[in-house]
Amino acid sequence: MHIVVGGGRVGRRIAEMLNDCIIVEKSREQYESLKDSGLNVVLGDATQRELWERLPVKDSVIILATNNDLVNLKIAKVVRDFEPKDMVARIESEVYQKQYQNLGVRGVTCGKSIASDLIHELIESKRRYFEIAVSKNNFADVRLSDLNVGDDCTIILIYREGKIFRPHPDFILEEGDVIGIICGREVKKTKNPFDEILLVIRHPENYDEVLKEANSISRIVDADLLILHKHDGKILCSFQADSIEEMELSEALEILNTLEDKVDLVMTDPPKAKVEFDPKIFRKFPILFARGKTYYSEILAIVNTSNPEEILNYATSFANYFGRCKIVFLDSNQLKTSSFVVESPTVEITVTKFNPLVEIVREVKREYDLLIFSISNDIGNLDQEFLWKFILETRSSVLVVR
Amino acid sequence: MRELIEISLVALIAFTSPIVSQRVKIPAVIIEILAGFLLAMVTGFFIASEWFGFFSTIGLIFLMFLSGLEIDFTLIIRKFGRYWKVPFYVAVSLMMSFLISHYLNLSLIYGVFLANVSLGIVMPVMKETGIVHTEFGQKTLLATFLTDLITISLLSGIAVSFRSPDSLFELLLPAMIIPAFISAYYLGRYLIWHFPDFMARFFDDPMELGVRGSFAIMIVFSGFAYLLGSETILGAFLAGALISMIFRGAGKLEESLMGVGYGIFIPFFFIKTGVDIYYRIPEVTLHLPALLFVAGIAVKLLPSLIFASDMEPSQVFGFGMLQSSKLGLTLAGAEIAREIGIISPGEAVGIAIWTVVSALLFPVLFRFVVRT
Repeated sequence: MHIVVGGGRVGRRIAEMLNDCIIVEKSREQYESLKDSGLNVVLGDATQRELWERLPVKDSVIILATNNDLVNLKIAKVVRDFEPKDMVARIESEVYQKQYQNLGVRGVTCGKSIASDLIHELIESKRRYFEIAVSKNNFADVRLSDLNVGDDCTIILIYREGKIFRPHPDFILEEGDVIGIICGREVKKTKNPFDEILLVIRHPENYDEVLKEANSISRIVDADLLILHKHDGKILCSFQADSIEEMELSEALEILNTLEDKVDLVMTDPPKAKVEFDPKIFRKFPILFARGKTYYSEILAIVNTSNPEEILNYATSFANYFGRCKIVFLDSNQLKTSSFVVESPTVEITVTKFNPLVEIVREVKREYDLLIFSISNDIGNLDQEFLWKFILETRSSVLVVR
Repeated sequence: MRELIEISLVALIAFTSPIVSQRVKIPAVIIEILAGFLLAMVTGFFIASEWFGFFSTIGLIFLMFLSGLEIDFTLIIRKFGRYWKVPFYVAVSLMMSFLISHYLNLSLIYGVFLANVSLGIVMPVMKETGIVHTEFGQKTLLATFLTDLITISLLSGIAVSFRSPDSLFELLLPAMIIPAFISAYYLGRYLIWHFPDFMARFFDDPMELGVRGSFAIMIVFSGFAYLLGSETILGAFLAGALISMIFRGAGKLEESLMGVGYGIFIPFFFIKTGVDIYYRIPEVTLHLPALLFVAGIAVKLLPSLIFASDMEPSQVFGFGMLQSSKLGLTLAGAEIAREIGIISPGEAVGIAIWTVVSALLFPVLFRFVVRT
């Protein structure tokens, strides 16, 4: 069930796109018009609790489609207490973006003509590509960095006079341009990859270095940081760790196995030697072996998997937050089968030319701040021995993804 | 003068055989064998001279080197557990080959010939039919790589044990090549990790450092194997396998080495095989090739029924047919076996005839089955 607040142009379009929907409208005139169109409408003031007590909020997605941010926020505060399944809003001014986030509302900021489409994408959470024409009244002379299409959507290209342009933040839109947008859950990952980071400290001597990196990353990507450590013989999970004891790998794994879906990223210190990890652990969450970096200026993503979406998501995301990212495909056929190649001005995509093993080792030796590769390793000729060398024998932090 | 004519003729055959091969859709090596046969028949003087024998030996060594180089160890490691029926198929096929050889009162080495399959035929056929990356294609390749690896090892083992049956030291000495191989492997891996820029020159260097280096490794390993009392071809095969294992697939380097091998040296070996067939025809009976032909199909087709639950019946049949095709290693093995006296020259020619027929017939049958 979806409940759309506000039956204006945007609200009406969203309601027409959704099958199972109730519109809440304050204006009687608008109410009558919507009703005449055959839509399911409730007349009332959405800022009043009494109205929501009558509606099936608990299993519904609430769509705040009024054109007033203050009203939307006021409604969100009231509705939040009724624990809706999700809340999405059309944001008029970015000044309120943070407040929406604090209330757990996902938002879209842009012109009315595309707001309804994007909100629909957010609700449906399906990946879809669509194009928006830039007109005099719609985005002309707007800088791309000023155009917020929401967390779940991203601009991947701009057509101008038959040419394709990469979406550089300083790109200024002109009348006649066409903006290509992709929406979907994986896009959200590229924008906001981690909400919860778990720092697992196994060796006390590495604590300061790894904590330094974890603090930096969590601050930059705006994620919560929890620390899993051993204290007085007990495994504790806390925001701070005053004293740390040596923790066995098996002890850490036992806890990690119970944390699926609760943690977005596990950060830990690199092991001293090759250890036998259960590959299932890597399938549950990405693991970052930290070397005490505070910033990733140079990132290398090695696409050694036939399902490269996860690597590409993280690579693009880290490139957006940090510095330059080089994505290396190990087989040119991957480019043919991979429909998901995210364009970003800080991402460089290359394909190995003669021997992936030698070429990747040569790249890795250039001392990147962060290396990203997949545990599945089913493409290319890299073997486990060299992947372990990347973790154990380089100064790079290493992110191993599913 | 006659030698100059001979070398010119061989060079011309090496040049024209791929062109003819494309026209008549028969492997170039078969054209070369037939050309050797015709040369000997028409000229009457084409008896292996010293230089011809030398180039032919280098060709044989190169052929074995490329056989080792072509084995994709990455595929074997990745798919061995997943396609567990394939190693099982290879084991059953090998057992049947040796049992049939024993039952027919043939030398043990016939088990190797029966079990062997030609990667040189399988790979082009797979590429041509566009099924390399399908599950069926991957299983076929895995079976071919595994069989190749095992049969070349068995061939060397049998040859060594036949040469020095009385001395345990002489029997064990050739095994020294294994530690040398392992040491060279780790040295190569060490160099990749510590000197990747230098190792990259193996693939991307205007002076063709990779070809020169590979050639040197091939000759050193062949010489070392010879010094240890083993077969030069085993050394060459291990050299090829070493390069393939170190770099986990030789890629572009393989293309260059194929160009040198199949473009210059290997035609000498196949043309000489054709010449040998002509001069030994009087010693040949059709009984042996016919027997090997039937047994060769049996040891490949019957075990392929293992895949009956995973593949279409036509695929099972096609798999068995393609695995029955023989070429380079069988001819090389026959030559070695003849040299050290395990088989007679007549038998070697019989094996060569069987090889030529299988190389012509089975790929055609496979294509027909796959297209149907």
